[in-house]
Amino acid sequence: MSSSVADKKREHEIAAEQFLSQKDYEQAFFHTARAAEFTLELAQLCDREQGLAYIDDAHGLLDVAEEIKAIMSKKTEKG
Amino acid sequence: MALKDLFISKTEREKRKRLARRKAFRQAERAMDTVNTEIARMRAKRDKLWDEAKAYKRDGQKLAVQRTLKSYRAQEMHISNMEMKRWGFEQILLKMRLAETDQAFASALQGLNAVQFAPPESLESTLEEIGLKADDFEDNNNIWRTIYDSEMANAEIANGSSIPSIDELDIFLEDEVVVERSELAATINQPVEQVKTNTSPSSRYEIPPSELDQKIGAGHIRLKKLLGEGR
Repeated sequence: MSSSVADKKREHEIAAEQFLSQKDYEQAFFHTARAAEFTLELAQLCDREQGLAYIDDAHGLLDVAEEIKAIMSKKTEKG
Repeated sequence: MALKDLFISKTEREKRKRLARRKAFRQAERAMDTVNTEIARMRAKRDKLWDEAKAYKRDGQKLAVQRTLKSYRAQEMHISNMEMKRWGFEQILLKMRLAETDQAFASALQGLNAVQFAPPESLESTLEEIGLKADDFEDNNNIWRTIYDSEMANAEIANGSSIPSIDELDIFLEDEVVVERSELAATINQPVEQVKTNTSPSSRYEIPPSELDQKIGAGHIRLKKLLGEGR
């Protein structure tokens, strides 16, 4: 078991990248959202400067998650 | 129809039939209540298993985690099956109820017709019938209320029919434990590896909200919105 939030964030980011390259959007979405969640947790553990940087990072991941969700919705509509 | 029923009047026979029908509906409603209670009990057990699994995870007891998660998942499947059966039963009950409404309309119209041309002595029995119809109407309202309440309470089950796999549950569990441990480590200023969480999240500590907290909160809101709902 990983021992830190930073490790978990990285694990989910790697998983998201892998699933995205395999075009498994459902899994990619799940891991991107989890990565964003852990980034927010990291922000909570840091001082102000670093925390704000992590919050920006989290919003970036949420943007990606939104894009993946949009792709999933389009696919569902077509199917 | 029983033999003794041959010697009673048509009105009395109808009345008995109606009473029997109402009794059957009440019995059906009681059965639904029993199922709802059972589902609530199973949910409580499921939540307890989740907490147990989390405790094992904190202690690093992998086998115990797997065993408890299996029980958790089995419980979730039983709940899902029970929900499915209850849904089917509710639909049947509703259809029967609607059929009864049709019959009630027809009878009420007949009743009105009878009142217009009836001699005064038959008015009493007609009014009695109207009284029974009013009771039926109240029963209908109760049925609708029950269906509405149960639908609202179980919207989460209706939303997602798939139950997470053991691996997915394990990810959720590990994530929860890691977050708890890291937050506690930051609070007491100790390395994460040395921290053991044995307190509930709600009783851990309280930090006054800062600008950073507010931004983090906004991030969580965006995340929840994106996910539709949280666990």
